[in-house]
Amino acid sequence: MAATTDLDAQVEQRVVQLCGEFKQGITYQIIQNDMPTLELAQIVNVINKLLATGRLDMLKKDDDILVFKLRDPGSLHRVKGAEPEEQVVYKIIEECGTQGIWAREIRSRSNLHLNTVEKVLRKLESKKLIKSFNPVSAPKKKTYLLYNLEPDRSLTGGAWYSDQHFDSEFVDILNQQCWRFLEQRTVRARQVTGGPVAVRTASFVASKEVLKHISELGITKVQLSIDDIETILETLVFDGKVERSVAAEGAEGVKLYRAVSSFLPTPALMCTPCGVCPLIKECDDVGNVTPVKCRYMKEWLDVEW
Amino acid sequence: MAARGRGGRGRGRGMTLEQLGVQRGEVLPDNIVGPPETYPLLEFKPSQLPQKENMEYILCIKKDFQEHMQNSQYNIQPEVKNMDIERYSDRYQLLTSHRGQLSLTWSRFPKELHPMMASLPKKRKLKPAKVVVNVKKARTKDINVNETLEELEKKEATAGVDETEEDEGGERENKAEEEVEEDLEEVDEELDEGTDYINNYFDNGESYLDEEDDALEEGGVF
Amino acid sequence: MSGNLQKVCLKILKEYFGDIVAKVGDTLFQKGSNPLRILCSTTKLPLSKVKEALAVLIKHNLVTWDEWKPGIPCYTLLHDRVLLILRYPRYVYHVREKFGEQSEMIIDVISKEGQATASHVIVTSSLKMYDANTDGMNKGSFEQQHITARNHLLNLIENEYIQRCPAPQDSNKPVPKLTVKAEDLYSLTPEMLDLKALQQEIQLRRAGEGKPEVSHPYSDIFWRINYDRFHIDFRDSEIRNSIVRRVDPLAGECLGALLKVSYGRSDPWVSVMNPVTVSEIRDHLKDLKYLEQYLKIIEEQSGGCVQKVGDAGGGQYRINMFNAFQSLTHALIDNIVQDRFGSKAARIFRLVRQHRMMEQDQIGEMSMIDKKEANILTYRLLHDNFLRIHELRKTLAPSPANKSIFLFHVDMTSVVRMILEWSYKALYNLMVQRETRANDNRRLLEKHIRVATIVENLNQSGGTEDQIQEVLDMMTPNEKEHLEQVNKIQDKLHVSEIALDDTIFILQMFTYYQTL
Repeated sequence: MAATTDLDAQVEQRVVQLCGEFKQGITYQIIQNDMPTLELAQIVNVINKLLATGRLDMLKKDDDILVFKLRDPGSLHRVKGAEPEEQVVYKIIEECGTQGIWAREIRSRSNLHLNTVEKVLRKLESKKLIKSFNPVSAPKKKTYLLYNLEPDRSLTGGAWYSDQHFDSEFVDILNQQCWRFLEQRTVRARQVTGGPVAVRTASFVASKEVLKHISELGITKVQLSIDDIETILETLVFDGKVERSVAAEGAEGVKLYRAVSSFLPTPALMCTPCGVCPLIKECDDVGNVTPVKCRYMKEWLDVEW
Repeated sequence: MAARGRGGRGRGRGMTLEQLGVQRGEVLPDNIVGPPETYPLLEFKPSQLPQKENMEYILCIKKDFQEHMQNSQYNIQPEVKNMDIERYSDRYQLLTSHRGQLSLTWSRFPKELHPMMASLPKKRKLKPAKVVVNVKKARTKDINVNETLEELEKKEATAGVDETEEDEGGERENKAEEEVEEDLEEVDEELDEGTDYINNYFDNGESYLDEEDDALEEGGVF
Repeated sequence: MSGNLQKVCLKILKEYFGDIVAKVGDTLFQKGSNPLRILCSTTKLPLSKVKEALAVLIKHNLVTWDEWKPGIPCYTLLHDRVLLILRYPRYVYHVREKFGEQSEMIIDVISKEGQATASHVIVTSSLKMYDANTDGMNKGSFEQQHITARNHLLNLIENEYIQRCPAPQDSNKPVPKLTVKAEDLYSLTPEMLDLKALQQEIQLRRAGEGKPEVSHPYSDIFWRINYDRFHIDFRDSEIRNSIVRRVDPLAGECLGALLKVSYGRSDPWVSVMNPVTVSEIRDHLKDLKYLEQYLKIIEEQSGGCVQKVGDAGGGQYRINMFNAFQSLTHALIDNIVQDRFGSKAARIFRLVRQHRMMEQDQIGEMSMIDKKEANILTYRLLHDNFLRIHELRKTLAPSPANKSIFLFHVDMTSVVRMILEWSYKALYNLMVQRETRANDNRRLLEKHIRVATIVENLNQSGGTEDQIQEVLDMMTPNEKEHLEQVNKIQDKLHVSEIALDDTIFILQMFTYYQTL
């Protein structure tokens, strides 16, 4: 029997090696091809031993072929003592990383009954090994991922969505804070000597710096990225309050922003009631809406009286 | 652009609120004000005009300019017809009726605008002719000869007087012409609103007028 | 919304020239060019009055004529000029700022007459100067007032603020043709004025003689305001002010110098002027440090108004008026949207304007506005014609779902036209309010005038303090307070009308450069 054990150990090793080579998993066929002299019974034995000791995971692919993969030693700890179904489901979820996977997909991958899958998911959730979220694109699809991971930004709508709702207030606050920061910088820049170009240069702020400032403000727990901040800064450009410039720095340009004033003050038309009047199209010399009868005119003129 | 009404469905190119993704029955800002009033609450009040230091002075210039123009000879007033009753307010009328003749360098304007008519005789001829035209519209046969005859005589008399003044080449040429014109208008008006019997009388007496015409040219008054 | 310009013109004519002139002017506006005869029959006014009205309109450069049939003229209203009447106070003030009080009086006199002879202008403006400065002026300096006035007049003419009016070649023709030679347009030569006669007339009038019999040479040559010259200055002011806002006052100075040099080598009304060099600009500024820096910044910040075209002579820059007024107009309309619909709507408007054509979804995403709110704002902008929609068929399939996409865009030209019409309407409404309130309080206002007249008479004829006070007390405190309120409101309306002209001016400039 010693020979068998040695041989087993060798086969085990080889199988593990093969698993290492074929990250997506190996089949009986692959093992047989690799060690043609082996009896199928022997291979099965080895596989079963590896499964029992938790070194291998077994998966069933679509065409009913069994596949064996090396188990991540890390996760080994976490699911020690778990049922095989739980291991299977956990593995599947782990593979999907931050993208997550929904229940139905887990079922087809594991070939387990949907009920079983649901039961396992409950269990794993209660063990705090996995958690769920709803992606913005498909709000009805409950998606699962490992507990310690955050869902991918593309699914959650990024920083701007909380519970699938666009968080306008949050965006507006960020908008204001960025603006304030840029404005302060412009005011400080005016003290700079050396001519107007120096003043102008000093009033520009790189998006990185804005990000740092905003993060330090601590108005939100959400981790914002450079792209996020630049999105906000772009909206300030469309508010007519900020201008953007690009500075060459290394391989790619760095986006710079600074506060600007409008070309013109408030237009005179908007300082009359007619400018803000919702009835201006109906206004005529006859009818209910006339300059003589106009209530807005009265209020505007008699406000001190 | 047809009146659209507040918050109504836009008729532009089939674009409706539904297509824009707003659900039916959803409250729009416009409709928050309960039952429709003619003047809904303003969403934004008119802004404050930016203060300009020079605005006060420009305002003065504007008001002064307006006042000046209103009191100048360029503010053409209608002829005040009823000068018979002196009104209390007349005493305090500033300058209005005392502007007199429009004083301009008439050579710079088309001749037809000159207050002095070059073709006076021609104009004179027109006067009775005008009477004739109106006369021809006569219908009824009721006559009150004497009255109307006297009136016409009077008119002709004043015209004749003017003519003699004209012949003398007096300074009041322009003014007279104005009066003649005014009389002309007044005569027309009277006849226009006038009674048919006046018209009718002259229907029969055209030759009468022709004679008169000749009479005028001879300088005498019938 | 059409017909707003016509209503405003009618109101203006009425306010300054009375009902009769207004009616004649309005008929010309509505019916187009017409001969006297038809004007009479249409207005149903007496012939003499129509003639006077036409003469007044002609004298104030508002009506011209052409020979329609042999010996019969046909009159045309220049309605844009009617609108300019509202700008006269700005012309007067501008000249005061630039050249001083005497010049101010000259422009004031000419505005009020429409066309005036040089002698009339000198005499009248001198007298106005005397009236305005009785305490400051001693007899000595006033002796020479006619010289000062003459000099100011010459200056204004040389700088083309005043020009010679076309004159009839042959005044015997029933329909005179008016012409003026180009070299005469801005030429007032010494022999055209008799200084002694001017001085004499001034003295006589000062002495109280109403119509002194003093004759002046060349009394058939008339002068009038050259509107376009003022508009050049106003236009330059607009761009200068915008640069001062964007950068700082020194930048405004640089731009001013750049403009000045540019006029030396370009027609002031072209779209794009000829380039000038930095060294030329430097010669015009006393000693501006960092000139090149400012020019560089102005180039980056002016929205295309100033463009760099080369490096010769320290750098070559040119003015691009087309871009200048495009940027200014964009800013104007952006501001209008902001004040009318709010800042989020303004963001959407700017987005669509810059991206030319946008789909609804794009608007929501790029503007970072909640989709529902974005849709509502977009709809409102569409409803008020700031945005337009363009439908693109995706498929030819008859199925209704998703067969076309809607693209939003901004049609600048039509938005500008709409806002101009809107401005005219606002102007009209303000004038109606002003007139109505004046009418409602006519008794009070007239009483005030009476009191003021009597007080003035008393002052001149040496009345006592007591007498004056008695007259002043004819107005009760209540009435005084009410009067003050009425006047305050009148002033507010006046000021709004004056300010509105600024908006109209920018839009007129935009339209001018777009259609060049």
